[in-house]
Amino acid sequence: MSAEVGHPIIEAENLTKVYFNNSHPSVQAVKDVYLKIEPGEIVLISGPNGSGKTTLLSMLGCLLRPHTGTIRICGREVTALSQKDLTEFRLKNIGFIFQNFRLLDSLNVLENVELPLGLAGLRRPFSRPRAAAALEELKMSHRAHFFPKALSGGEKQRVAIARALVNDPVVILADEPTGSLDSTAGQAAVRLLRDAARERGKTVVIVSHDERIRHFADRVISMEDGRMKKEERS
Amino acid sequence: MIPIARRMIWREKARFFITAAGLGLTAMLMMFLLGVYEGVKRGSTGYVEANRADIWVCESNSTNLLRSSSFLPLALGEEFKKAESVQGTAGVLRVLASTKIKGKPVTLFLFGFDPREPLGKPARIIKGSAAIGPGELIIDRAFAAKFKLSLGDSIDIHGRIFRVAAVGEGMNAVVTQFIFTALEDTQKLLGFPGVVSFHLLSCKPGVPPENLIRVLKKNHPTLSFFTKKEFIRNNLDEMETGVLPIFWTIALLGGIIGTAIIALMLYGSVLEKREDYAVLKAIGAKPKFLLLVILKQSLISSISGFIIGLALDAILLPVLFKLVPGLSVVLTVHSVFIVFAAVLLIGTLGSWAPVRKLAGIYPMEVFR
Repeated sequence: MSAEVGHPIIEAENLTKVYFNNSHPSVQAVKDVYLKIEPGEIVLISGPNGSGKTTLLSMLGCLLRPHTGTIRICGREVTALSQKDLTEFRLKNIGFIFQNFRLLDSLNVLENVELPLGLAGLRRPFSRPRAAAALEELKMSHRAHFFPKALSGGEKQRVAIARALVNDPVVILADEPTGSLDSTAGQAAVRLLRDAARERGKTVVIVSHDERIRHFADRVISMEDGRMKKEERS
Repeated sequence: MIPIARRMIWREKARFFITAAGLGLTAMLMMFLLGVYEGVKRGSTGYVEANRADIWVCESNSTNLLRSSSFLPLALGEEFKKAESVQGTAGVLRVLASTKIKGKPVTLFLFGFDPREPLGKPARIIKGSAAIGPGELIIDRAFAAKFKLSLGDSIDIHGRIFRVAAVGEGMNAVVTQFIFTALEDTQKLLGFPGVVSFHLLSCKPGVPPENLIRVLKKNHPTLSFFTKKEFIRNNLDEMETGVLPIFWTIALLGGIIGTAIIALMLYGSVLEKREDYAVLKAIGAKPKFLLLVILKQSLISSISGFIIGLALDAILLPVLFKLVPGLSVVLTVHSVFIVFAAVLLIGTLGSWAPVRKLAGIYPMEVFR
């Protein structure tokens, strides 16, 4: 799926998410969010803990269904898709980067990067070189056969970026990508993510309360109590 | 595709080995039970199977050698001989006798046969000769080993001394072993000369036993006539009635324990790797793929357990034969295949609870 020029790649309208406790609404995590993200844009969603930014990211990543509202990614209304189609959509169109890297301990670095390609049905003779090339670009080839436990935080995040990019997704969603890294490694990881995304023309949505990475984003959206409070362009 | 199931198992070697060992013991138990069953089956039908008799005749309502009583006049054999299609006849008398051997009480399953007749002889002689005379016995190899008897040893049966003249094979029904004596000796022990339990008939070449039975039944409507095949089946049915429910119960319990082992181990593994499974779901793994990851782990453990079970049987059975000489365990390729199928079923059933647990993991858990 490719982005059409002049059309937003992500369009969210009137998004609301309520969490229930024993069938009673307990928290309204996201309230009336309207959002448009253009192709190739790097957007930072910031805000304090509990502001609803991770819930919003989960909905944009097709991991969570909103209670009201619609989300369109590449012109396709994902809120209308079945669970099966959502899984397929995520696999083909969305790359994820998580706060704790979330690499599979039982797989080595190369296999972790190869994983999305395998899930997409690519056979090993084809998936392996692509994964190796992604690692090469992120300067992690020398660690290809290491297991995640043997890597530093920064290295793990580079592998996670390679995994997010290897399937050539349209959108990359990153949840607190600097959360488990020190200041230098955090900055380096986001810089790497920005450069890799720019090079490939990918749209990136980063959720973080790390103010030090604001300057990497084209646009910063501030959230508070589930609502979008402020929008700034860099 | 990356062999995720194999990698996950290999990262938790201790868990894998405990699971495989547990299933190995289950497989070993199942193979052992099937081996004992096969051994009992062969032991209880081996005599009839090896006999040249085409037809077995017994009293009405008697159906087998093991647990039915039949008393017929020996002279009836002469009447059968008059039938045109009968080639030969022989009488066999079965008697139960209690005695003590080397101070141990034992119930003997005695078969009296006429050593001069080609019909009714024991299955296979491995030491000595089947041509026994008065006061002589043929015992089974397992019986000889159990009571440490050898050729020339004596056994006192009801005050009469019998000498072991031969040792045979294929007469071990585990709970008892068949012992052969001369027909006249057995009749004397019973106290009724001229009595037999069964008449064994052989047909002339080209005569189907079923046809001969039809002819004989006209003159002897109160007797039971069985072809060799029917009589083997009757003995088998009788044996199975006694032991099969016990075997099935033990095998079923073994299967349940094996299933519980694999289910608990995999369930624990899913709980520990819940974040990994959430990541897989988040990045687009389909439910079928995840189900296969669990199923493969279960089947790898099960098949490894089967191999361990097979090896344990191969190592332990020779030791067991030495410790329990009366034991007859026959491991056939068929039995091994049955256990393999059972182990695969255990693996499949054992993965049910972990798969259910996995289905309840939300991909959004990756953000925790």
